[in-house]
Amino acid sequence: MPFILSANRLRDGAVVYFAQDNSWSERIEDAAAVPEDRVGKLEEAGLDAEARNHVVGSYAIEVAASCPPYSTRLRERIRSHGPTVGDRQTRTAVEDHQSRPMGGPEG
Amino acid sequence: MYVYDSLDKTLLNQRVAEFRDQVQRRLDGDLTEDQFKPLRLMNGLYLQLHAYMLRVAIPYGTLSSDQMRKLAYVAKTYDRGYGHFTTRQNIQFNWIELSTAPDLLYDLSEVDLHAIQTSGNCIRNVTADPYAGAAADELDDPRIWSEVIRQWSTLHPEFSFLPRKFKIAVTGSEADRAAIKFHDIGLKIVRNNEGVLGFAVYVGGGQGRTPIVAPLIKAFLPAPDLLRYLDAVLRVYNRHGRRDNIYKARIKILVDSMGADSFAAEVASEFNRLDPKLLSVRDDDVSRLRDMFAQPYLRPDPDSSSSFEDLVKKSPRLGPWFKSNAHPHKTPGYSIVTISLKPIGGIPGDATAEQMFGIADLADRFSLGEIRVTYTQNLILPHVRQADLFVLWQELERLNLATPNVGLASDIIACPGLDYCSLANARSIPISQRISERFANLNAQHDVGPLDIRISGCINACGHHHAGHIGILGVDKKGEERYQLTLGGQGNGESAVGKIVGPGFDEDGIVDAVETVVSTYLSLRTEGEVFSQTLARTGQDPFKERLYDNR
Amino acid sequence: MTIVNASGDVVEQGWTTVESLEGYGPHHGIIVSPAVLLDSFDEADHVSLSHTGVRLSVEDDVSEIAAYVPHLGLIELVFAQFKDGRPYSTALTLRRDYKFTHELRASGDVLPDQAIFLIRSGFSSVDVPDQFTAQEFKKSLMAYSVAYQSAHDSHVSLIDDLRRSTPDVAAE
Repeated sequence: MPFILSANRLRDGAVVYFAQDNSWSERIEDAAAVPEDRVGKLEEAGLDAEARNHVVGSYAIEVAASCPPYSTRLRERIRSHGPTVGDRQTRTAVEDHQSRPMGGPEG
Repeated sequence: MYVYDSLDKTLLNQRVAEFRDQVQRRLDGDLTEDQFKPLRLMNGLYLQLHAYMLRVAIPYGTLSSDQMRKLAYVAKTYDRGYGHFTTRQNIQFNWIELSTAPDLLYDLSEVDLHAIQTSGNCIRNVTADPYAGAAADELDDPRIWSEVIRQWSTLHPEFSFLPRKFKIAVTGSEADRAAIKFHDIGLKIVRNNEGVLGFAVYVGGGQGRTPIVAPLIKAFLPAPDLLRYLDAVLRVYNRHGRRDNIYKARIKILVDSMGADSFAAEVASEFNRLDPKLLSVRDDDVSRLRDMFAQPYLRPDPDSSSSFEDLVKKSPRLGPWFKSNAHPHKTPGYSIVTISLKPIGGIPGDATAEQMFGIADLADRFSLGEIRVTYTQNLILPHVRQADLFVLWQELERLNLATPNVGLASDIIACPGLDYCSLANARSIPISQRISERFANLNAQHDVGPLDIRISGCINACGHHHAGHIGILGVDKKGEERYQLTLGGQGNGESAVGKIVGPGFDEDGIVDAVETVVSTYLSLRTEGEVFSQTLARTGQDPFKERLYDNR
Repeated sequence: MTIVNASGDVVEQGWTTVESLEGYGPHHGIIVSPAVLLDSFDEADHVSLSHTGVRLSVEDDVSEIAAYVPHLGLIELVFAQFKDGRPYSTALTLRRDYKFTHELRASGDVLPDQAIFLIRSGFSSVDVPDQFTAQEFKKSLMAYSVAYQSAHDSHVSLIDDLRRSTPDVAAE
């Protein structure tokens, strides 16, 4: 299975992936996937970006050869797609109240 | 409340300026990540899965309405419109950028808020009974002593690079609402036979991988000796605590391996070497703090409570809320009101900016501008006149903050889990949401009675699962989320560590298992018996049978 | 090697670290290991000891050289890792329990951002690690003009110190 390289961007902590054009992208679709024998090179690119204070904590992730790359690890899927509970409380307090009157069944 | 003076403000401003400089040096590459990490952690800034997370200190869980408004402003301006109140009486913002964090901290400093020592291997933000100053059973206000500890521990030159984090909790009441025996140091305010004020000192409690209920190290410590004794405990720990294994570095391991008695002896010998003049807490300084925390006079208003009781009889939805979310105040005619941050199916401890602004206004109208944060991830308005309860309840309903479930099945404690946290092995929030929805019928919850469900997404136990009546621990088993079930923990009042019942469950299975445990209890309980009493009487066996026999 | 004092100013390095005494007589301003100190020095020879320093790792036990301590010209505490805060307690103990009044030096893995903690714990000089400058240590020492705790040897109560005066941060 191929590997991609991910890290968090130093200045805002955003999840980023090392792309084909040697840039770092927030989209996992852009991630450069390499075969296992080139993981070392990939990791070197990560360490280089860390040394240049662009990203922190880079590491290679094994992914299924699909588009976009798919990790079998839930942690990686949450990193790429955001919290499974939504990245914000989309319902405002007032909307929530209207859609589900409080007091529940006895109300 | 405590009012910052020029020294407090100067130090805070200098701290903000120092951190701004540290962030700039990091962005410029003058500091490596390795060097910067402990510095940002001591300012509460973590790097989590999706972004930086900032943990803001709420000293001993006390907030003014203006401070709450500032937190709401921060949520709107620097985050995605919400914050998460934690099991340490703090608030966390999940979507923070490193580059603007110094501006955020500057904004907080305008209302005397900060993130100092909310992380790192130092003395963390001290926690206390959220009913402080309002509880009828209080010997002395724990905030006075918490503030003494806050000052002593802030930027402590000797104790900022300890083997591991260090948490201190203080209660002034017999009913322990601060879980003091699950802390590195738990302080209970007591009086000795002569009526002298002091502390019972518990050292070496904690949760995590090795849950331990703290042993009593000193039955009576005169109040003026507080800092001298803490100094001695911390020095013994700094000297002898393990640094070779992060899982054995907490003081609980040191106390356990030395034995409570020899640990106490070592502390006593260090205490005796310390010059009593050096760290004694003076009476006049204590009375100055006491004046600051003294609440404005509340006129006893017994009529207010009787007229309110009439109203409860008339309004069927008000009754359950009053029963579960209001607690007697020391002044007749007043209540301590808990604002539930656990709407059915919601994220435990989350509050939107709109809700925070609304709570600040309600605190001004109904509670002398004061708000408390509980370690169970709810908020409190400590001084509400019972004549105002009906209007307050209506306003809280409008903000979706009046769920009548405090202390009940859907008042679940949950850590952020794998949805946010880089340490987590499994998700916590969705499990809590599904359990909450399973028990959505609030009448049924009131019938089940007091039930404390707690969920952690990893063994660090931020969700206090060891201390829940029903505890759930998320683990990673070959890439799959699995959930272990423990029963019999106690975190409110009593302290006990729960025991694992058997093999773990998957996501669906754990929700069913919790329901099975509750229905087993309902079938076993005798008249008036609450969950923890039934479990204590029957043991785990009948629960195990129901959980595993049909498999 | 750059040594800064408690004010962050660079001072002349008058001491040489040696592995053994070969080639060094007394009065040379040498820093030795505790083993060499115990083997080769007489605890009653206060004159020689005043020209001698000892270098302690985080694992070394001060009590083993207790008799020498008050007479030594210098004690150097080596930080194995900046995250390992044991030397802060050792410094306090040396100043308070052993009444050590001479130069107490921090060396090894220390950060400029820790300078204020070092000085307030009783250190009087810092051996600046190669990747940092004396200027960075001085700047860090200037970051705070106030503190909540009394410095290591001021005998006033915390709250008293705290509220009635502004302690001189750089003072010993």
